[in-house]
Amino acid sequence: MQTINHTPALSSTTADRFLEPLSRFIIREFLHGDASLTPETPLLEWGVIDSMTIIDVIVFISEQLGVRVPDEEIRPDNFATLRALSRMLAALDDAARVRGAA
Amino acid sequence: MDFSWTDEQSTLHEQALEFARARLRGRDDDDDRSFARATWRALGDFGALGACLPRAHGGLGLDALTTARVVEGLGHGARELGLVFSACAHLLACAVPVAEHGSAQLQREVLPALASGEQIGANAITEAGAGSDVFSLRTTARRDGDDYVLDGAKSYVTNGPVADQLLVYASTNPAHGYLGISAFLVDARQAGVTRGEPFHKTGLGSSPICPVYLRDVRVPGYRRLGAEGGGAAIFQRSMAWERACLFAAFVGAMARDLELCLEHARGRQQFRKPIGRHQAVAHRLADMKLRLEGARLLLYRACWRLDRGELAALDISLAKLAVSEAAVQSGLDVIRLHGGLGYMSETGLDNGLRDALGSLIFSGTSEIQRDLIARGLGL
Repeated sequence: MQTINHTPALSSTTADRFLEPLSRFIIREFLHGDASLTPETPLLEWGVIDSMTIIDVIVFISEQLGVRVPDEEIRPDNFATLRALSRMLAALDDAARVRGAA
Repeated sequence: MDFSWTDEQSTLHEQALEFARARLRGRDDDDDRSFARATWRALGDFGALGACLPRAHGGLGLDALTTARVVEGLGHGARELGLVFSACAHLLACAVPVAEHGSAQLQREVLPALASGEQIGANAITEAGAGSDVFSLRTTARRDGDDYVLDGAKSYVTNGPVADQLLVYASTNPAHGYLGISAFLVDARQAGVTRGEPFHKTGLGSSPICPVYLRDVRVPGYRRLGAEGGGAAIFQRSMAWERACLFAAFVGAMARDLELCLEHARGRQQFRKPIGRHQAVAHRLADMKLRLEGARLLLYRACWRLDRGELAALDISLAKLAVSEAAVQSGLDVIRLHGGLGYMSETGLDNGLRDALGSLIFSGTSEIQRDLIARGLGL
């Protein structure tokens, strides 16, 4: 399994650009510093996302990453793994930028 | 910052107050002792049962702030809050989720009837083992072709004894936990739906409640709200509406409590002067006013945030906690300020306290609100 490399190597323009900050946040807040998290770790099966932690994740995404997650996007396929979450955020962020530019 | 109400909001509030004073007088006015159905239909005619539903589906199309102002008027004028509570549960925890997340077919099918009061909606989530830990529910929904088959038991379903439509939360994938929950609007006449004996509550007496059992209940796929696994987010959203707007009824009740107490404090004489001239009584009334206005401001700020589409979880929890705790204190103040009279149930002066006690529990207990506030503070 690929382990996330906490370096600036992940381009801010890629679909995975939110992987690193998300990973840092989840490791720090919910995994007590255990950095064995990978982009494909099944977050739901591992119990990382529950009724309380999801609020923290949504607030972090909104306040620190500047992306608003609509209720209809809070569904298992978007939160299944870090990669899925990151790609959902990238898509939302890209859509918001397009709207802003229009 | 502008704290003034629009003419429309003021008019709707006044109309709600007048309606409630005339019609929401507790169980005494209705023939049906188990549920005030005629008054319910009158609430529908008035527009309260579809206040924030889209006009296209028979609603008034009001935002959260205006809806809360209407609900405050109802709570202020009602002698007992049970039916207002039922109306808000119907609207905010059943009809609004359908309006926001239901399929077009489902919306066409049920929203006009819910808005008019022809049908009654209920929210069925709580289970014996899933109260504050609400997403640990055990009710399941199994996919079977285009349908789902639901099995489980819901413990406290407000409007359950009279509901036509039940918004049921069930697990479609237990391995996914929080994101394994889906929402379904179940026709209460569906085979396999049964209701238990109604419970008797300490307050909110005109709002019926019972357990609901689901056994091999077949639900068509178009009656699922949102995506499979999206039920928890739908529930959280409905709780945001409920905590923001339903609790306006308790703000209204506190305003009524204060009026009652002021009238008594001005009229009753002890030691050769009105009791309101005694500092201990006057300070109690000052504290009632302070709690009322503080709770009201928090509530309307939360509604304002909700309408702006902002993350309002912290504001909503602050408002819910402030209103419910203040409402209980206000109910106690009514009894203490009226002395022996307040303790006699014949006077009905205990109604406010009885109704308010439940507000500490439903829509998330005060303890859960404090947890949410603490998380909002980054703790």
